[in-house]
Amino acid sequence: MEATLTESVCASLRVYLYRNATFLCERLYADFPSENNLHLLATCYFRSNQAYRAYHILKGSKSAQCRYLFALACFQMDSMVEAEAALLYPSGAGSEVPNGAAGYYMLGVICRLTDRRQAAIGHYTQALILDPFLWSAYEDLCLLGAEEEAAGLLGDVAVSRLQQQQQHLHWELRTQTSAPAALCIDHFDTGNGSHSQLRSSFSNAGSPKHSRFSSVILGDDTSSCVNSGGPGSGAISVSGFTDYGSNSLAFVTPTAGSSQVPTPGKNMQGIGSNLGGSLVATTEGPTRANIAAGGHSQQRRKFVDEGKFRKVSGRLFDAVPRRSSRLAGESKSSALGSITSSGSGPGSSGAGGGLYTLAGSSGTTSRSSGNSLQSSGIRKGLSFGSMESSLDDVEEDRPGGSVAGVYHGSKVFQDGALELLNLLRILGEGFRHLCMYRCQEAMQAFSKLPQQQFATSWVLCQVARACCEMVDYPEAERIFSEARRISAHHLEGADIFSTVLYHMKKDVELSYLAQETVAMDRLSPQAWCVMGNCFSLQKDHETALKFFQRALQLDSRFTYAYTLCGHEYVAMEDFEEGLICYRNAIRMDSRHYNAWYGLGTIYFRQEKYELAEYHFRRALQINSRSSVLHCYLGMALHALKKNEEALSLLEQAIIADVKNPLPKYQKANVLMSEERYDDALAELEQLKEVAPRESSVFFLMGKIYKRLDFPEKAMYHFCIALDLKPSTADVNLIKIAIEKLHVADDLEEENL
Amino acid sequence: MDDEGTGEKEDEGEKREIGKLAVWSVSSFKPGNGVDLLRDSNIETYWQSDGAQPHLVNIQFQKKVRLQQLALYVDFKLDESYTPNKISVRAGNSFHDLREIKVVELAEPIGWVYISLCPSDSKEFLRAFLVQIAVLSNHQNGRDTHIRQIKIYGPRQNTVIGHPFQFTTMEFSARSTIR
Repeated sequence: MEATLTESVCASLRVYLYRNATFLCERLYADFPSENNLHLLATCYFRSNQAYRAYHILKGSKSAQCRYLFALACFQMDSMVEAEAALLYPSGAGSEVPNGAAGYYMLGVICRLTDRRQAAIGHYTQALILDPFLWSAYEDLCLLGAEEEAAGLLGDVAVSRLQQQQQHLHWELRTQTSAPAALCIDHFDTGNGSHSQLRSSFSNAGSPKHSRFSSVILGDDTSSCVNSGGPGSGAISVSGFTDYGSNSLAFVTPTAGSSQVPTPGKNMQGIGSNLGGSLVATTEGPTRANIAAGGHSQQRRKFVDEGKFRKVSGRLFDAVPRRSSRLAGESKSSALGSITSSGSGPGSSGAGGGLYTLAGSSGTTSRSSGNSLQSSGIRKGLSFGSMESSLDDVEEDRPGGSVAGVYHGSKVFQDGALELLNLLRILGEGFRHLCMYRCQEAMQAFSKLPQQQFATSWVLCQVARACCEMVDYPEAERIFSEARRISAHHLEGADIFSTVLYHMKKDVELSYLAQETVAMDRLSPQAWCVMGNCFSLQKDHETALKFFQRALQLDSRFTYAYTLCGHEYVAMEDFEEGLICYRNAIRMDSRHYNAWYGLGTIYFRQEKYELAEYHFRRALQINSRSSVLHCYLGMALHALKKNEEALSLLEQAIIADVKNPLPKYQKANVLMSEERYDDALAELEQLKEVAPRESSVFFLMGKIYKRLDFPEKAMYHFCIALDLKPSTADVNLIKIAIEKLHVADDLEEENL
Repeated sequence: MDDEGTGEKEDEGEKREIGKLAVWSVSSFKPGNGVDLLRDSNIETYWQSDGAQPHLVNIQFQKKVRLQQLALYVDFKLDESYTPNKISVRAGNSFHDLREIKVVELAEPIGWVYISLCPSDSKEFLRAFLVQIAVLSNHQNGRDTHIRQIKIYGPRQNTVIGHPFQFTTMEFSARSTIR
């Protein structure tokens, strides 16, 4: 009965019937309380978003998989200490991190959230060494600012490592052809209850954290199962398309809804490397990717036609499915959510990536490579072409010799891996440059992508962010609109888009965006940030603050929401609260230069100029190309009377962004305070060319002329300033200045 | 003595309501119609005084603030003889050095009455710790008064530091801050 129950549970899990799975699993565990079954039960709970239940039942369990799942449950419940302890158990030198790359990645995340930057970097690096396709780890490295480490990891080193793995694989392969009938992981294979459990558990483990991204789909069916024991019987990879019975390559892929079809016959013949091709689809716009449905021989055939891969059984790396699901989850293009809806199987166009399961060496240090879940989705690439042909070869060879087939398969795999690595490398380069705020280079890097990859919302959002950092708001707006046109459900970049619109004062577009995003997903913190920005533009700061706080309720680690709250408090002149908010933002992410800038402005207003200078410098350290930051630092220095330095900084600001009028204006200000009136006037004349309708320019010129004792010219400029319709408060200022034209500057009146 | 009855309603973006920074008190009130009804953003509820004239509303700030405008909501139709007729606005640093800055005469007002606090000979704002609104007389010689809502406005702080102006053009304003 145990096997039957296990099978049913796994089947239910596969088709997302979590209540059913949970119930059956509880029966299973009641009768056969083994660690594997416990793990399966925890998986069921985890999948049904009940991480706390998984936490309770897994407490104290020792096996690697259970520890990993326990750590994930702890993480969900915000209990970092326990999560870390679970991953590093037994503590000390002998500790063995479960699931290799995935375990290290989890450790990295925990360290990052508990503010141990170096440790986090170490863990992420290790994870990437084990699996060069672990994009999330790479992303986090960039966000931490660990540029040098990140730069190396997707380079040639990774390629050579992959090749090594391949060699190893072959070698394994050859020595294993005589292995007994493989443990097919196909769960319909009634033989191995434990394996199928392991398998489903793996598929699960990744998803919980990202359940909201419905990466479940991916986690679910990836065919990987690990045989963590057996000597000769290595991995069992379970999927493949096959229409010949002999090879039971049951292909299980993340399918939207199509259940896995029991492959007829399931014995793998103890073959080594395994090529899995699971397609991950992203449904971006026209190129609807396909999720290969596992299964029916007919489907399989079609898949083959569409260039899916054949899987050769082999050893699987446990973490593979999880990683892929996590990757899918973390993918910026939340299009993955739509994978479920994108229809199953054959017929749909497009191609996906391949889930490569690489047979690793026996034991826990198997590496895994191949992750088809490129965050931007993997489209049909050139590799498919080549793959197809080699697949055909494989097909032919099949009846002949499985080993030979395997050999071909692994070559195919290697090409695919290299191709993927290239893609990841370009994306990684772009992302890394963007995180270091080298926006030009980032845009260049991203432009090297093939068109279909470029036109995905994740990439477009990154490019638009780069434009935004370069203060090229019209271009950023254009790109963001494009991204939204392609996939309106991708909300990750919406908050930056709203900032762009805020700067451009486009209130109609901003309110439209706010309505759309909130309607799309009421539980998305970015949507509420957009709403908040919308109200902030209308100067309704209290309501804006309310919305930003709502965003924080939804995700208490959302750095930008803290910064925006800070901005609102400052606008309401509540500096204490503003300081708190900015400091929170920095606590979440110390590279968030907006928060450093915010702190600087508060101290500037409070006339604590040294503190202001310090904070502006910190912000500048992070983002050294921002003209606005240079300008503000210059202003702070001017306030500290360090005019030399101020002038040089303002010069840098001008060079950094020629179109930025503020540093020129400030430079004129500084020059005026140094009584270099002619230089100041020269600057302002230049400025007049650039911004002919800016009344503050004329006002300053008027003041200078007054100092130089040209009252007529001063009056002339004041009048022009008035004509340009500044805001009412400023009108008053100008009028006062006009009235005082004939009075010396130092005579001021107090009102009361 | 000016009559600046309705005054100017300035653009919302130009001023901020700063009543929340102050402590509000009244010279007398009828139980159930106390000072909090002056600040509840509800024009249905009102403060009713309960003593001798003049009736006073005191607005005390912790720090010297810049003040721009005062707004009172009164309704002759509903309140008739309780509606204020002559209002004196005084300001200063404490109760002992109040100085009258404006006297306003109302004639059967219905709705918001805006009183500008800027001294009329200059465009500067009023800077004070304490503002006192004294109701000197009511319509039809009523003894007590009803005021439904009071708001006090100050100018908006400029978002760009170190610079007194709001930028008018997009090129300037887009580059003037980091959000």
